[in-house]
Order: sequence, then C-alpha cells, then structure tokens
Amino acid sequence: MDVDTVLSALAALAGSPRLMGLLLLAIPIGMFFGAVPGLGGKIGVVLLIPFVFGMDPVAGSVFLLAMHAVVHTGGSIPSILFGVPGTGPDAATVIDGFPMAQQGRAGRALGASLGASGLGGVVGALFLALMLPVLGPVVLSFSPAEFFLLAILGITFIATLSGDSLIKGVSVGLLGLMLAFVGADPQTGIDRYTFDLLFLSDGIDVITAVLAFFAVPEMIALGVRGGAISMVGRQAARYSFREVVDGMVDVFRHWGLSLRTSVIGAVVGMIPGLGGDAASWICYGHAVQSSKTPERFGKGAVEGVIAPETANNSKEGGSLLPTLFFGVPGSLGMAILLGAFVMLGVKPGPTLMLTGLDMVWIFIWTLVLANVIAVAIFLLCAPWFGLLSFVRGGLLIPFVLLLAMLGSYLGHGAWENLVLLAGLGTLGYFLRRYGWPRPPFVIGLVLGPIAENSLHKALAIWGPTFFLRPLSLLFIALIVASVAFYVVRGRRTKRSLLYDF
Amino acid sequence: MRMLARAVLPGAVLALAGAAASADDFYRGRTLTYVVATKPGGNYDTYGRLIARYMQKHLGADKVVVRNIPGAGHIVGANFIHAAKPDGLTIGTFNTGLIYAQVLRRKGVKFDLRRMGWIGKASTESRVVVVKKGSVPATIDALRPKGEAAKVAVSGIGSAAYNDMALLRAALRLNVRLVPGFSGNEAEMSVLRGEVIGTIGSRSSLDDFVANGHGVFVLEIGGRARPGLPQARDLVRDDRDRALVALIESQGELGRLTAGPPGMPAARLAALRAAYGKAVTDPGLVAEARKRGLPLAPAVGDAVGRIVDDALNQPPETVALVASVMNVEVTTVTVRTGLLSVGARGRTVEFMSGDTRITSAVSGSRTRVRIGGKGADRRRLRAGMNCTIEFRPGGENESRAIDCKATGG
Repeated sequence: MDVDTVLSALAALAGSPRLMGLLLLAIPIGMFFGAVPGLGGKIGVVLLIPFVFGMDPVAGSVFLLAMHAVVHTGGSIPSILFGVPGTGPDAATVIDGFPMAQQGRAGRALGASLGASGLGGVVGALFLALMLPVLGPVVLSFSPAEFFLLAILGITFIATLSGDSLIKGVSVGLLGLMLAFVGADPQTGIDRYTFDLLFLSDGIDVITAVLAFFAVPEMIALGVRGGAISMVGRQAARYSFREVVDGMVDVFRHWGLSLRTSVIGAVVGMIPGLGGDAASWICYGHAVQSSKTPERFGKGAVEGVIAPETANNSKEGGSLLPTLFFGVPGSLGMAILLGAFVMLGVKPGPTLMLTGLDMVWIFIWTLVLANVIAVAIFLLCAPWFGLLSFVRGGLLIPFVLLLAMLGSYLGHGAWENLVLLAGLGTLGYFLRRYGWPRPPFVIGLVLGPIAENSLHKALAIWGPTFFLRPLSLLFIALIVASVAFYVVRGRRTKRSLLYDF
Repeated sequence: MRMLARAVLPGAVLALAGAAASADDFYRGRTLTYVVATKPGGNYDTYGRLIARYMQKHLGADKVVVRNIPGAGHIVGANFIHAAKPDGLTIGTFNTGLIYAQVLRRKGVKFDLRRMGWIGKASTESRVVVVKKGSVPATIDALRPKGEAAKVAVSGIGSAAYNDMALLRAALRLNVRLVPGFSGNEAEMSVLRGEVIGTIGSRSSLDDFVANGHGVFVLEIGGRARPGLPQARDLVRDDRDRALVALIESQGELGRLTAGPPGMPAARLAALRAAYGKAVTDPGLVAEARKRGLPLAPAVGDAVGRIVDDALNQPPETVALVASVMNVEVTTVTVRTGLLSVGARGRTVEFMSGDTRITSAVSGSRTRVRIGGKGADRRRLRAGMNCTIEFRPGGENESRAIDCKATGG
C-alpha cells in the first residue's frame, strides 16, 4: 500500500468533474431510497442499473457505490422523527432516536445520527483499506460455528436491553425467537407454524415486525395522548443549527464508543452471511453494556443513536471486502452491486488485488467522500426535518401509518403483511402500555434464524465438537464475559440500592 | 435438443410474426406486467428485467412493469401468474425447479405447468460439480470415499442445487452428506474454508470460482461434452438412474422460463412469443447479456412446452423415487370415482385416477373407511360403489381414506 497509489486515486476522483458530478447526484438518490420505508438500497441499485449500463467501469461503480453508501444516512430520518425505520438496520436507531424526538431533541438526534453515519462510513472505508493485505485468512476463518456464536452473543444482549425487568425482557426476546422459527425448517424443508399459508413459508418479515412493534404503537399512543410527537413545546426546545451541530459533537464526545462500534460494524459487514441488521443491533447492545448508566437507554440516550448509526455505514466498507476480493457478496445489497460491477466490467476476485488496486482505492475514496458530503447536505436540511416532530399528531399520524404500511407492503408485495402489521402492532401497543421492553423481540427475530441455520451447518460439518475451534472459543469467552458483566453489574446496583437506606 | 431449439427458433419467429400482426394493435397503449417470482436483484430478476424491456420494444406496448412477487421458493409468484387474467397482459418468470414441486405435489402449489401458456426460455445451463483445488482424487471419485461420507455444500432444502445433488447422489451411488442452507456464493466460501469438499451449481455461477484457481470441475450434467470432463449421463447404467439424470438435465435445459396463464387467446400468445423471440435475439439484448455475463440459449413457444411436459410425465415409480430421494413426504391424491373392483377381504381396491388404473392397498388400521357417512370395515366395500378416495401414489398406493355413498338396497 504505497502513498502514491492512495493519493493519485484521490486526485483522480476529486479532480474529475464527471466523477464528482456522479457522486453528488448519487447522494440525494441514496438518501431518498433510505428515507422512504420499504425501499432501501437494494431496490435503488436495481433501478439504477439500466442507467449505468454503458458507462465506463469506474464511473458506473462510483455512482452506485456512492448511492449505496449513504442509504442508511437517509434511513435515520424517519426512524428518529416518526419511529418508522427507513430500512431494517435503522430499526435500532428508533429505540433511542424517537424518544429524543419526543423530548423535543429531534435536531440533536439527527445531528448525532449524521455525525455517526459520517464517521462510521469513513472508518469503514479505512477498515477496507487496512484489511486489504490480510484479507484472505481473516475472512476465511469465520465459519458457521463463529456465526452461531456471534448470533448467541447478540442474543445475550437481550438481557442488557431488558431495562429494569429481566423476566419481561427475556420473555419478549423468547417470543421474538419463537416467531423467528415460523417458516420452512432449514434442515428438513418442512413448514413450521405456517398454518398451511404459503405467505408464512418464508417466515415473518422483519421490516413488518419492526414497524409493527415500534411505529404503530407509537402512533397509537400519540393518538391517545394527543398533541405532537414532541411532548415538549416548540419554545422550550432549542431546535436550530446549533442543536444539530451539538448532536454531531456528541459523536466525538463519546469517541471511544463511536470508534468501537464503527469497527464492530465493519467487521460484521466483512463477514458474509451475518447481514446488516445484525451489525446495528450488536453495536446497540454493546453501547448499553459499556455504558455506566444503562437505564437511560430506550429513553433518549444519544449513545443509542450513535452506536447503530456508525455500524450501519461502516458495514458498507466492511462488506466490500469479500465482495471485491472473493466475488462473494458480504450482504444482499452487495450481491446486487456485485452483479452491477460485473456488468460494468469490474472483475471481482483475487486478480483485482494484483491489477486493479488503483480502482479499489478510488472506491475507498468514494466511500469517504460520499459520507462526508452527505453529512454536509444533510446538515443543511436537518433543522427543517426536525420541525416535523412539532407537527400536530392529528396531521402526522395518518401520514406515518401510511408510511408504515408502505414499508411493510413494499418488501414482498404481500397484502398479508398488512394484516400482520395490524396484529403485531396491537401486541406492540399493549407491550408499550404495560411497560414491557420491545427491542428484545427484534433481536430474537433477527438473530434467531442466523443462530439456527449456523448451528445446523456447524453440526453437519464438525459434529458437536464444533465449538472447540480457536475462534469459537474466543467468542464463547466473549459470551461468558457479556453475561458475567451483566450479572455483576446487576448485583452492584442492587448493593448500592441497599446502601441507599 | 439444442439443435432442435436452434432450428425451431428462426422458423417459429417468422411464423409467429405473421400471426402476431393482427394482435399487434392490442398492445399499443397498454401496459404489460412481467412478474418475477423473486425479490429484486437475483439472476431471475436480472434476466426478467432485461427481457421485459426488449419485449416492450418489440410488442409495441406502451409500458412494461416488472413486478416482484417473491415467496415460498417461487411458488407464490408462479401461483400469481397462473391465476392472472389470461388477457395477455400478465406474464412472468419463475424457477424451472417448480417442476419438482408439481411432480411431488407440494402443498400450496396452485399452478399446473402443463396448462400454462409457454412463451419461451432464455438460457440453457448445464450443472457442474466442483471440488476444492487440491482434493485427492480430483475426480468424481472424491465424492465416493470409503468410510465417512464426503460433505457437499448446497443451498436450501427444496432448492435447485439441493434437488440436483440429491438426485445425483442416488443416480451415481455417491457417498456424500448434503449440508444445506448456503445461499448464493456462500457454498463456494465454504469450499474455500475447507469445511466441505465441494458443491454443485450452474456452470456460469461456478466458472469464476474455478478460473480463480479455487476449485476443479469434476462432473457435468447436461450441455455438450467437453474434453476431460465426464458427463453424468455417460456414468449411469440402468433405466432408473438414467431417468434421474434426465430429470436433472431437463432442469438445466429450461433455464429462465417465461410463461403466461392458461387460456390466453391464441393470437395474443402468438404475439407474445414473436416478441419474445425478437427480444432474445435483439443485438442490444445480446450485447447487454454478454456484458453482464448472462448466458443465452433461447427457445420459443411449443418447443419449451414439450420439454416441460416430458419432465412432468414421470411414471409413479419415478415420482416415488424422487420423493424418497429428496426426503419429501408426498401429499395424497384424491379422486371421486367408482370402485372397479374390490380385492379379497377388502384389502385392495381398484379404480381410475385420471387415465391410470390404480390398485390401492387398504389398511385395516391406517385407512379410514366410511360408508354412508358412518365408519365401516373394509370388508363391506363393494365394486361399483361411488367413493371419494384419498391415496398416496407410489409403491402400494395405500389409501388414507375411502368415503363411499351407501348403495341403495
């Protein structure tokens, strides 16, 4: 990796009006696809492929990459303002981002998410750059055994996200896990819990579940309560440019967390098969665990916005690694990008390392610049977005519910998802009403299938001793540490409560 | 088969173009809906969007809309196409593997591939088996180890790769253990990591893997013979095994099908076929496909329907064999007909199922027999009774339930 290649790539990118023009065009498109619930980056790439066909490889790739890189930056907008996740991985942002909007701090949440996205994207690109030389052995050491343990690690976070009652949290988490098993059994192909409905054969749609558990209950509650999303009056809240910038500075105030979650996100992105949702939830869980005051989470803790948003963007850089160098996509979105790369004439594979390194560096710089410029664009518009949280509920609720239904329907074009939305939404409302935590449900739902599939594969490949692999033992240690951490902290809190007498 | 397709294609296009002239005006100002039975982004989606775009051009339609209707391994999309209004405005694409789904009467299948309006198919792809570079031996014998079974990574249960490998294992008497659940290129990663010895897939999807030096081709199923690479059909001896290999080959033969619902007016079907034929031979499409690495070997119209029919017309023994090989519980067939004869002590009954005369075993314990709505002993069954019989095809065709009307007198 010599400085010459690195800098000349930057010069090639920044110095070319055509490339920069494409980059600038791609950013609002990417943010749009992220912001409209149910669309997402994948559809964006698919729809843009006919337009880039015929472009030279570098230009086309820069365009698509830039678009894809900022999807989650845009996805945080509806998550924070309405509690409607723009994309699956943005669901974790809702947990703390939406309460912040309710407290009149939407601007700050948007600023934090913005800064986090930018930082995450840059770190992800850096990660890509640094990992280039050691890529092969690292990616190859992650096998189904490690996926399984990573998923279990994520599931242990259910405990930490349970708030004050472990029993409630675990129950909800187990409910999510149970619903995760609806669908075709990966080992036998037999449908489970599908009541002979083809619609359930693929399992419960995660986007629908997330919208049902977060967006719908919040809108119902808003209707019941009356008023606007922000429970604090406009005068009392200090929305302005200032607030947004404040939020961005928050990212650097918590620089340790921001950097850690960026790296975790990039690593998770690098491992093909885990998926984007896992990254944001694992990082959210980590933020809760590593905080000295975990009770604040779920009620508007800015770290709860920073952690998942860094992960969302850094995973893009990470998932480019296997995509470019093995031709194995790091995620579904990358699978589509891979097809686009091939079409454009970029040949992913080990030869790229040898002959196409300068192009890879242009890609890396594209990620960096796209994320930074997106921050700037977003920054200009953020205060106006923030205003939306002060709009009267009566005007907003139908709009948000429509967005939620759109998001639920668009994924599969199945009207049954709307029924599911209504049913799970009602359940979500009652969970909210009686103080039961909801994030554990999503964790169970998302990580359950990964855990099950990986477990079956690991058993098929190695038999019951699969966890004796060195990397697996490391993860087991992490799981034990995570649980121990939680238990010890719980005991310490109890002790301190006792001493309060 | 390929030669036939190549000979038929230009002739078909010319003939259909004539017939289509009259239906040309129908599409002007109208929107064609092209259904893709997968989520956006995969190969079916890619082929579908490409073909849809060029069909619009050649049909003279105002617009073409690509609709993704994923679910249940293409079954939801195929059901949708089958049930669509047969006015020629809805067509679509789905996995050739649905042939298996129909043969095995999978639950939820609401389509009949025999009756669908076949428009064409876009590619022919042989299947190949690849083993990790460095395996000893670097031949198909790597999948016949003595002792512990060799592990092979395949995609989810019921998917094309899984089915192909399961049938291949039976046909070639391989000693392999299938590890399912790897989607997309994950199977190749697994081979790279050394967890499994190899995988199976379409030729184009595994070409890069081999070209990059990670794997070695050891067997091909379908396609033309290549030097140094054995064909599965040359390695099988008896009829049973040959039938299984033929079934796998037909899958590769019918790549990227396009079809419409049954009952479309002949003129419109002809117009669609003509447009399809022009679309897949359009130099623009061919260039785009080549650039995107999408192999093309098109065939139009009836030629496709004939291959589908052949693949679907499996004798009951093959159905049972395929079912057992794939560990699928075949669901039952229900007929309402008269009993042709009843065997001694009611242990067997004979009746017509469609055009086939079936002899079905009646179990004393497992078969539920009712006469006139009340539970009865099988010995009371008589020839000539009008009954609704639910039986499992294959083997003894054992009946699950026999409900007969009480005979008068």
